[in-house]
Amino acid sequence: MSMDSKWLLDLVERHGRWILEELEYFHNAIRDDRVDEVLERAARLFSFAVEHHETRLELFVRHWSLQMRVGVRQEGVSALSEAVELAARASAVDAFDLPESICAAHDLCACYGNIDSVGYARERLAVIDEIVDRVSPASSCFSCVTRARCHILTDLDRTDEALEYLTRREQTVRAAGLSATKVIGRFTRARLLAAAERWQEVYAELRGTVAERTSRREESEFRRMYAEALFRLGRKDEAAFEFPGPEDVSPLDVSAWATLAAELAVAGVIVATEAVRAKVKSIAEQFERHGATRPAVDGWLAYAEICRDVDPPEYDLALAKSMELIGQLRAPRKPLETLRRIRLHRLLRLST
Amino acid sequence: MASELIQTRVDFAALLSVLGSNLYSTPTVVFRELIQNAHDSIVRRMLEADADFRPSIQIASDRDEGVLEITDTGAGLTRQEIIDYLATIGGGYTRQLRASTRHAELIGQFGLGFLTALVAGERVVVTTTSFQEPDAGWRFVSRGGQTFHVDAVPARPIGTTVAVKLKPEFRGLLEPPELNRVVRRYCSLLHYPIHIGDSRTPINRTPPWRRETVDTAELISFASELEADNEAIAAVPLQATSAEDPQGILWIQGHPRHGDNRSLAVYVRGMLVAENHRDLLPSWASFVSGVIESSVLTPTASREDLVRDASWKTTARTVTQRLVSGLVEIARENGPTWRTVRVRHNQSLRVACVENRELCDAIGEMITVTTSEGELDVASLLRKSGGKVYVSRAPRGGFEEVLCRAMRVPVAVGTLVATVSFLQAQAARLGFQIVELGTADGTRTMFPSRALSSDESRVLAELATKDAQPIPTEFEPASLPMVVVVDREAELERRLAEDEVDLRMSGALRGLARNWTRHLEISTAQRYLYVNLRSPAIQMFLRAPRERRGPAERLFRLMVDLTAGAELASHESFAAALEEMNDVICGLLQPSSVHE
Repeated sequence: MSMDSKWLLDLVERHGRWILEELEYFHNAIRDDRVDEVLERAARLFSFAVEHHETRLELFVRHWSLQMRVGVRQEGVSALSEAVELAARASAVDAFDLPESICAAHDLCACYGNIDSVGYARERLAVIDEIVDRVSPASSCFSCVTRARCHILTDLDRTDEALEYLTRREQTVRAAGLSATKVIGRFTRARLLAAAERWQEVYAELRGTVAERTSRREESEFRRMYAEALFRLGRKDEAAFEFPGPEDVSPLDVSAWATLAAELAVAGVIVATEAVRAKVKSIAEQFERHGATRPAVDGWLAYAEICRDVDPPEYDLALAKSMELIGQLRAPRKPLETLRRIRLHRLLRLST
Repeated sequence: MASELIQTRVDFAALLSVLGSNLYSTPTVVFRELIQNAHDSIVRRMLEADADFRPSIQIASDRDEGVLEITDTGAGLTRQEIIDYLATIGGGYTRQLRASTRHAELIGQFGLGFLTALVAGERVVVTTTSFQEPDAGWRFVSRGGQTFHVDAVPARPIGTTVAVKLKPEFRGLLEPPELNRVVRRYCSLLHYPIHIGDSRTPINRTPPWRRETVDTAELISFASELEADNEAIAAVPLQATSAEDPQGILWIQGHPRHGDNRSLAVYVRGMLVAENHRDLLPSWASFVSGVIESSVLTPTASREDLVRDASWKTTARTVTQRLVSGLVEIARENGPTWRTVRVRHNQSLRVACVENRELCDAIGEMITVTTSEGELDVASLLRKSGGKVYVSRAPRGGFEEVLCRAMRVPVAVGTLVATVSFLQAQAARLGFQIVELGTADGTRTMFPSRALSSDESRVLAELATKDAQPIPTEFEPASLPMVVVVDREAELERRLAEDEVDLRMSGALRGLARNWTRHLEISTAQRYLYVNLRSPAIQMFLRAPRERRGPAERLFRLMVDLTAGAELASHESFAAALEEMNDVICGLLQPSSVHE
């Protein structure tokens, strides 16, 4: 999200100080994941922007709203129409040169990422590569674009390349006299190392950030990743201690949380309480409702796994949902492997 | 090596500096903190001493010397209490007293209030005589806060005087107007009399909510005093039914303004803690201000904000409930006021209805939406549009909207704030259908498809153009033979493909965007040609022999071009259509045609 002070000052001069307060509200609300509240208020500001021909404010508000829908609520197909509309709007004569046109392109990529991150990875990478050189380290888009490119490379199983790219981008940030941690975020490297299954390094990376977590969002993601690293390293008790409970998980981390919750439960590290099972199911349902197909598949597979030995009817439901949604994926290999593994375990258990 | 237990150490000078610089946002809090200490001391004397006394707090200032002096007739301090409570940061007695007595008027709890004097003052002198030792007097003197002296002095009347020689940068606070303003702002709702200078009239006031009966006019007058720049037009009293409930008033601002204008002053046990703690109001209440007093909210250590604990959440819930029920009461029982509120804040009330189900149920029917026929409530909207609500979110209406306007069927302007979501909430409650113009579903609802015989279908197919297939349907008015509706989803696809957008939209982004439009289940047609089977002209056209259909077919095609709307019709094609229409009419009027 980009915001420059001259633009803001001009806005305030034209329309009054309330605009600044409104922007501040959105900034805080986004940080606190207050999605519904933001969307309703954004609609009000959008009307104002259109009414007063404030093109940049209009794009900005639409981008915010998409950030909430695609970024926080992780909507997929349900937000696609708006993401495409915004990308088209941001390409119009009066909008193309505005910084928000980059955000609009990124929003569309993110939306497809929610639908099927692996399936649309090549197309997303092409879009990011087209915009990546338009942002400088001083721009707040730099972090979004950098992280997006790293994660897309991971989706393409090019994790080593992603790590090298991250190192280069961090060097660029430092060369500009800025803090790499602040610009790119704290956990990007840890996420990439986790994707590469380099757990000892994930553990080392996270240990160094213990004192730096500031938000609920970071706390939740940190504890989930830290728990996974500990689990992979065989330190199960510590993993169980660190793993966030269903009430602590941040909306942004629910997909990875559900998958790990299932794995930890099956391994006997945590107890799959009713609250944990209900949370995993609600995560899968929410993704499905929003057309975020791949995370919905992951969610239903996690729910199948967690119900496998304790709740056969729910296990059957989860399996049926998974199979139906896998058919909609462009790249179904990994979920299919997980599905086969879960069914095999079930068959083996029934046969013994 | 065995682990060693080591005591944490404190750098007192650094801590004092940090607390002094960062704990409070403004030096004015020195008044609040010292007056609060004086207040709590009076409460203590009432609770612990047997003899009657006259409670009083006196504030004096010496501008030339830069000294602020606060004298109370409270409990006073013994030498040991000076050391234990006054000179020990975080060691206040009030916390213990509150724990043992649960007295609702006690304010302090952190033992930090006196710190403000040490921070704001170069020199602090406290002279005191305790009710426990009325014959002994003590003087506490501290410079810079790190060390202090305590000396025996002659006894004084029971109570305490705190004299603070303010640092030069804070001496502006002693100017009488500023002193008056600050003390009144923070402390005017405290229960014991506070006098400034020689005035015999205490600054305290009794807010309306503490009285037995509350008059609405009085509430509005009180509210208007607090919000000078935006008069109050209606007030909702918050009356406590238990000790936990907040008391106070909420009021509706007189003038609508953009942005979040919620405002709520919060007093805790009579002391102003937060001038605008708007988060206690629901997010939709952008047109509401208020002031509340609570005995259960917990101030943060700086007492400039509130701890978001269970009591805070309960208070927020109570405030919301009371605001909702208050608005409903005004709507039901005070017609003239409600009309003013509704006219000035209709848009905000619509948002409120979307976010609060109870409010929606109670007042939703009175809220209006902007339509092509003016501001209408839902009942009027339904009555005028035959039981359905038509809404358009397009910046420019298509022909279907023009048709609605021609028929005086109101179309709600869906681009305005909370219009669609408000109508959806009402539709869910009342069970009516929303027809969104410009969407495939909306169009299908407006123009339901009708079956034709195979012969009629063949004739109708003659009206097809390269981008519009005729669809048989029925609609009013019967005199209109056909309408052309733009397919807005296909329109988006077309825009994406247009050179103008293409040139700017990068290749990869366009590919990703079109990946979506390709998946839309839309025909190649960019326009839908709805043919009205109720039209006598169409009925005759379908039955007429082929050789007689020629001129009518040409006229119908022209009608398609002329009604397609400016978005699709280029200037050239529009001009050509007009010319051709003239040709056809002239052809029909030629004597040979007439005689045929």
